[in-house]
Amino acid sequence: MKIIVFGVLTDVIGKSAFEIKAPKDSETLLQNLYSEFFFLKNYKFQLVVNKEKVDGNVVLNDNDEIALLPPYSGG
Amino acid sequence: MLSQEEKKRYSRQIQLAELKNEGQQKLQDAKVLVVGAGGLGCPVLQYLAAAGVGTIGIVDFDLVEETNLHRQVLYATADVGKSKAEIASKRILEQNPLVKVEIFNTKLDNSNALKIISNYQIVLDCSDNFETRYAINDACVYLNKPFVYAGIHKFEGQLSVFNLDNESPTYRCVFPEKGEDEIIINCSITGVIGTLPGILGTMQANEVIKIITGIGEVCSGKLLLFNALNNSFSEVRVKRNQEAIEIFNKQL
Repeated sequence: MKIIVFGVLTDVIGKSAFEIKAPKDSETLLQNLYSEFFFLKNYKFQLVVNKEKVDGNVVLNDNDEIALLPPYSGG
Repeated sequence: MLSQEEKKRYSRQIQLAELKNEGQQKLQDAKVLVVGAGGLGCPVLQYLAAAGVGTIGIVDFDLVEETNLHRQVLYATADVGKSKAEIASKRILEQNPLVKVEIFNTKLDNSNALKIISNYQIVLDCSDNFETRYAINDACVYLNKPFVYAGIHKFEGQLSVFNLDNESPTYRCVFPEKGEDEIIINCSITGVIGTLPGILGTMQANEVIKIITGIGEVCSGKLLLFNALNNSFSEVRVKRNQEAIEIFNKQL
């Protein structure tokens, strides 16, 4: 499963895209990301699955594309 | 009615079959508010004025700083220390004396957003902080006005037209809440490439022209993402989320 990282999160995670084995759902994915990237919990971001913003927990598959989308404050 | 002077000045866009005199008249009758006269606001103001948007409001309380000059292209070196709203107004009136400019030398927040925004039909969010962004969103939702959002970070930009109608998403439908402990990330800390707000701001002005004249497809229902390092554009579909919209009402 591909994970694409946007904005300030690329600095937190250290890369703009990476591959992982798909966890069963989006909540598990978030838990895994928070434990792997310690400072991620300091940032607000939204989970995007297959180019759609998702609310709540959704089931994930290995061919899903995930994006981690933070707000951008700059103007 | 357009005068002969106006017909000549705007002839290259009036000759577009999509616009014609009617489109130009709509631009002339429009009242548009630009919140923030920084990196995004400079190109927005230049193109809206050049296109003949009849009334343009500028909200900014900042003074021009030397570190703004690489991206805020309305300002000259000699403007450092002067009011952005006043200099921006002067420059765009030099470019097009046929438009009317209204200045608000203040920070837009929850205390004044409704009052300032209520006199305009479309708002452009060119601000550089979350407090103002949420204030614009909540006031525009309350007043049923569309707003054209852009945000930038280093080499990346986001763009969307929010609250275009009662079915389109708002900023809170993408990012529901402003955190109390939000890490403040802005250009002064992270840096930004000067051309990025130029590109995103020009796209904001383009969306405004489409909304006013009713041509083309407006960037609503999705967030457009641009990366200046690899020229990639991508989109995220966003649905209207009534629960997120009402977070503001619950805070009242």
